Amino acid sequence: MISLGSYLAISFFLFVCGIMVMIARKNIIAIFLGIELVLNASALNFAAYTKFVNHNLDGHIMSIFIIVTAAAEAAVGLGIVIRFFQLRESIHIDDAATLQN
Amino acid sequence: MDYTIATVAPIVLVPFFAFVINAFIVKKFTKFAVGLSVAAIFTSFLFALRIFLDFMNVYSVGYHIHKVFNWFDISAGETIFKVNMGIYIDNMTAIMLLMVTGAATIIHVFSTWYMHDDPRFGRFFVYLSLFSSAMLGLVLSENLLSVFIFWELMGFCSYSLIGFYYEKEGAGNASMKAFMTTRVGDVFFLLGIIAIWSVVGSVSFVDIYNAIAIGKFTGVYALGIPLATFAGFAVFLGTVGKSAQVPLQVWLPDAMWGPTPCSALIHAATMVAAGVYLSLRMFPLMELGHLTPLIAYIGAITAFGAATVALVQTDIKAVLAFSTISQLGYMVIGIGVGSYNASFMHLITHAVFKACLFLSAGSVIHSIHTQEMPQMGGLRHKLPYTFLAMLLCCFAIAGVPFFSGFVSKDRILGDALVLALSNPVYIPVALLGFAGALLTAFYMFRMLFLTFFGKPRDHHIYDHAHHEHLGWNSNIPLLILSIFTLGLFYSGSFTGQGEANLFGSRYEWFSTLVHKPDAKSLHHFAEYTSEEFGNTDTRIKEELPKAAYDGRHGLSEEEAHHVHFIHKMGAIMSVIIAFSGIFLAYLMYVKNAVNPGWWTDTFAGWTRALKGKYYFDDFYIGKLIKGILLPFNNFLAWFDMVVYDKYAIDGWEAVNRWAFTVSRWFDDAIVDSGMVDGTGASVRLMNVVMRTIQSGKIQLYFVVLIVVLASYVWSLSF
Amino acid sequence: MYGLDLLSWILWMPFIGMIVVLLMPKANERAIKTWALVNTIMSFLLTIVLYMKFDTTLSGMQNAFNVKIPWISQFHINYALGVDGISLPMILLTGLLFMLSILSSWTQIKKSIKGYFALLLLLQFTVFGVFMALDFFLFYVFWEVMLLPMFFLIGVWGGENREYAAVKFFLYTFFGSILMLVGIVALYFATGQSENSFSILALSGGHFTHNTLSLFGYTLSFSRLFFIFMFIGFAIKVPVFPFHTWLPHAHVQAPTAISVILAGVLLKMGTYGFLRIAFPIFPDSAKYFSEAIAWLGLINVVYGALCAMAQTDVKKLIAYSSVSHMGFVMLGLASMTIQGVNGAVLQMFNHGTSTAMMFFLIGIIYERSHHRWIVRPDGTPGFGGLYTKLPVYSIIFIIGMFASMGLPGMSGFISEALIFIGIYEKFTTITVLALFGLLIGAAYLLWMFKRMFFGEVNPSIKDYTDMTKLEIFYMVPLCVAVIVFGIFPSPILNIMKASVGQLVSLLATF
Repeated sequence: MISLGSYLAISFFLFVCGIMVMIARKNIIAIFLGIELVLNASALNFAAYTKFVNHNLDGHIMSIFIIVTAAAEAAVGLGIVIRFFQLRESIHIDDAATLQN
Repeated sequence: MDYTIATVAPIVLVPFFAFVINAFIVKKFTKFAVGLSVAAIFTSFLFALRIFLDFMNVYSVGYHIHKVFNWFDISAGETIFKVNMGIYIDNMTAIMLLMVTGAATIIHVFSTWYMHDDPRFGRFFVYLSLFSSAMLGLVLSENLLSVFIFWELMGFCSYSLIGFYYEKEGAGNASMKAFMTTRVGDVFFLLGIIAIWSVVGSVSFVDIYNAIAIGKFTGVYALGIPLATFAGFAVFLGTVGKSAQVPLQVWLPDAMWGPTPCSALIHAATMVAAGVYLSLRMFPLMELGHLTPLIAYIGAITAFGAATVALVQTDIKAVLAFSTISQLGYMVIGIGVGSYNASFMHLITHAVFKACLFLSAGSVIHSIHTQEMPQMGGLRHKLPYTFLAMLLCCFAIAGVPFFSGFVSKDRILGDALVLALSNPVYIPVALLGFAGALLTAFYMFRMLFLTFFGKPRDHHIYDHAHHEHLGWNSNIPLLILSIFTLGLFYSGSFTGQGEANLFGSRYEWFSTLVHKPDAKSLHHFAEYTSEEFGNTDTRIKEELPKAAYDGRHGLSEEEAHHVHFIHKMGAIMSVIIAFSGIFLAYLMYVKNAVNPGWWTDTFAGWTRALKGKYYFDDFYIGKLIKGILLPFNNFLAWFDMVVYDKYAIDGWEAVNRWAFTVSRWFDDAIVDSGMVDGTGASVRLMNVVMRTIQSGKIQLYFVVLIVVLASYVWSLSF
Repeated sequence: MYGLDLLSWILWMPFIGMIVVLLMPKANERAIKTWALVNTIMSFLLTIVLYMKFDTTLSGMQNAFNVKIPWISQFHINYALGVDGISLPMILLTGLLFMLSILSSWTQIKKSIKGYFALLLLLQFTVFGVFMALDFFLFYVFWEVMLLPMFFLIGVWGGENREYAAVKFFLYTFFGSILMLVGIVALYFATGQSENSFSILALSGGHFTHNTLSLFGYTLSFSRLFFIFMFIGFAIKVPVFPFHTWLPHAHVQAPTAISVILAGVLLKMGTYGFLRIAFPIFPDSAKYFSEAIAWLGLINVVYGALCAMAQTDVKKLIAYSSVSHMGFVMLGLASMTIQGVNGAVLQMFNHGTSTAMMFFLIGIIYERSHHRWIVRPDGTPGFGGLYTKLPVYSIIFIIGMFASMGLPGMSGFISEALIFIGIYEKFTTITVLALFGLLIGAAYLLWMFKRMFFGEVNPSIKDYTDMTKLEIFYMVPLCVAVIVFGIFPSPILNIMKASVGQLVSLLATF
């Protein structure tokens, strides 16, 4: 029997990996991947908790909701990245730091 | 003889209307205007004569007519303040009216001759009419305020007439001096009126007598002085100014700049006497205020001092001017020694003989066109009628028996002597009075001798003088006036005292009818209230007892005998004095037995002082006015404009300038640079900080987010 | 009915006149002058009608004439006019003097006629307003607006130093009005911003005796403090001693007609302010300060007279004499007795006529000589022998001069005598000292007269002509006034006595 701890450990690992990717990589696509990892970690958390604690379908629904949202978000995000690439000829994150004067 | 205001007012109003009409027509219808003035004053004379005769017919001491009407009334609520005007006629008024109108008529007539070749012939009569009406108004006044009004109007006429020859610088100075000097007295007179008003609540003579009788003045003070003294003295200062007493006598000699008839009318017969008349009217108040010794001293100093100055004058009018001051001094002595009746009598007799003297002098001046006596001499051959008139008048003023001056002046001196023997305070008064009488006789005859006797000293002038012919308006007026210098018109006796009576007691009318307002006669006013216009005075209808001459004047037999004895001695002394004065003048100026030059050389210092009129003018004009007043005025005016206005007022500009410099600095340095611009600087500082943080690097934000979140979560775990 | 009442007609008549003048073509000077004259004559006739309809038996404001229309109703400010025995003499005087001023300006004013007459009529409008206003705010508005025409009349048509004088006049008066405005606002709040906040009549009667206010930690009496504020405001206008120095400047620089109006009417606005506002609203303080006011009046009398005596410019001399004569008014007011206050109001009227005469006469001689020196700065006489050369002028001058010094039989005497009678019982020392001012008062006038009129004819006056018919024409009413009111003061006294009595009895209760 796989315990809740194992689920959470994987989830934590995924989350940390995602965070690290988000912080460390300068490629926007890579950062997107990191975000996907974080989202998946949270989706896994929902699924695990609902299986071991609540015993109803709320967590599952929420997981599916996150996956859908993540897909939508990826679509919008990639659109932005494409426009950004058209403007800057680059997908390097620091090229987007135009807020600084 | 039902007198109301309507029947008495014409005395004042007829000359007044003559003045009003003449003021407009005088330029075109000069002759008519002159005629109108003369006719007007003659009409007044007829009214006055009627009143006089009526009063002689009643022949009672207490008889008087008092009528008032309301002039204005500003009462509101419980405060009553009414000002009445009206008439008050008693024996004194009636006599005064006759004298004033008589003298004025004669002077008017004389002026038609004297002034007829003057370019301002008509205008002279305009002033004369106004003056006459003012003087008559004063005499008829029932209250002090109306006295004051007419008093000042006379001052105005006097001012205009002294400055009649306005092209001359001296006339301008003299008129201003006259007005201002009398104004000093007048201002105090006004103060006196106000002070009396505050106690009595009215200034009607009747109410004042009433107030004195019921003792309203006791215990009332003004500035710490008993009010009777305060007010009495203030009113008396009015007299001092108007009647040219020391120390305000300086204006009268200068007043001689006016035409001679105006000197006769204003500065001899009427206006200057009005001052004495006022003091006589207010005598009870002055007695109440214990002012009589002071008054006597002022009178005595004036009488003697002016007589000494007259000794050295060479101008014929100046001699007369100083003699007027001196004689007015005698009247004031009369008030001071309580010789009420004699003082008033002297007022009347003096008015007559002094008017005549002035007119005679005018006649002389008109003939020879000079006023300097050293250029005259021997004129009796050319001007016999003038000489006759002047001789009679000189007898009168010198105090020769059977002439009016003797009757009045010697009674004043007699009373002074009586008082001096009982009260040593009055000894100097009597001495100065007698000494003045000696000098009077001397200088009057000096004037007469220098003018009419001896050889002509300036033949050119003498030869150009025309022989005098009897003319209705040139020397007839003089002769008429000179007749009235005879003593018998005023008294049936030598002394006016009822002794050696020639015609019986009824002829002592003057002494009988005019009485000193003593306690008994004041009591007469105690319950008296004035009545409004139109009502007939109830008091008239009372049967008044006919007055009888009281030879003892209310004294006991023994006292009366004593008084009469002293009076007799006084009279004898006076006669001796008068004749010795005349004789001395005769020796000096006719016989040339005594050389006047010796006197002037021996007493050179005195002569200088006399010629300088005791330096009063120098003191007043040189020291007080030019030395103190004008520099002080200039200082004040300078201070006001150059110091006060420039620094205290315009100085605010400097304060303002300083204030706006400071405020501009504050605005620039603190508000603008510090506060307004400082706000910008602080924002810029924040900008630097924020710009550093706001790097735009999304990963940095994320790290911060994570760190903050993590530390928050971590903090929760404690 | 609104707008058809007599007081509004009198008030707005000059304003209508001004509008018409402004609409007239500039070149048609004769028409402008004629219209201005007709307009002021109509005003004067209306004031005479007012006098005829006035009921002398009533005290206080007469209901027959009162007007009250809401103006700014949020603050309870009304267009309220009224007339009583104190303001009626002033209204009559205003009507008379403006009419004569137009006549005197006929030949004397040569530049921008249109502007001059328009401003003169505006001035008349505001002066009428001050004397009629029963609303404190309205009063203040008129009081302030009055400064505008005066500023330009002095500053444009005046003498060489006119800007200085105009600015000085403006600032001085403005300073006073500011203090008054503070007073008005304070009263507005003290009454609780009610219906009565600006009604002069409702404020009167001493409602503020016990009010206090805190200032810098001190508790002050409301009444004392604001009485002083208003006193200064009005005292500047009178002018009372330490605030008097604008007057000589303004008079010397102003054209003749403006000097006449300034001395004849505007100075009276100050004393009128005391009678209408300062005394009735703060009777307790008026009483409290009466001795101080009397001393100030005394200083005015004596100081003004002494300064006048030192002047070598005739107009300045008369200007200082105004200071002296207004001092008598202050003395009368300070006495707070029937006699004194009646005398003061009468003196306000009489001084208006007599001093107007003097200023007109100086203007007449100035038109001939173009200088006003009695003694020129180099010490030579400026005139001399005018009596010989200009007899008619001299006689009218004598009348004016003696009226001004208060010769009995002339108008000034009765008022001065009443003032002295009034003040004697209260302040004897002051009376005695003030009489000294009376003496100096005669001295400077006579001395001036002597130096200008007596003596030989000065060569410089040889070509002078005597008064023209027009000049005589506008002097005659004043001559008649000074003589007739000297002999029969009752017509004026009867108007005022009931109202003065009311004021005095109000003061007596404190």
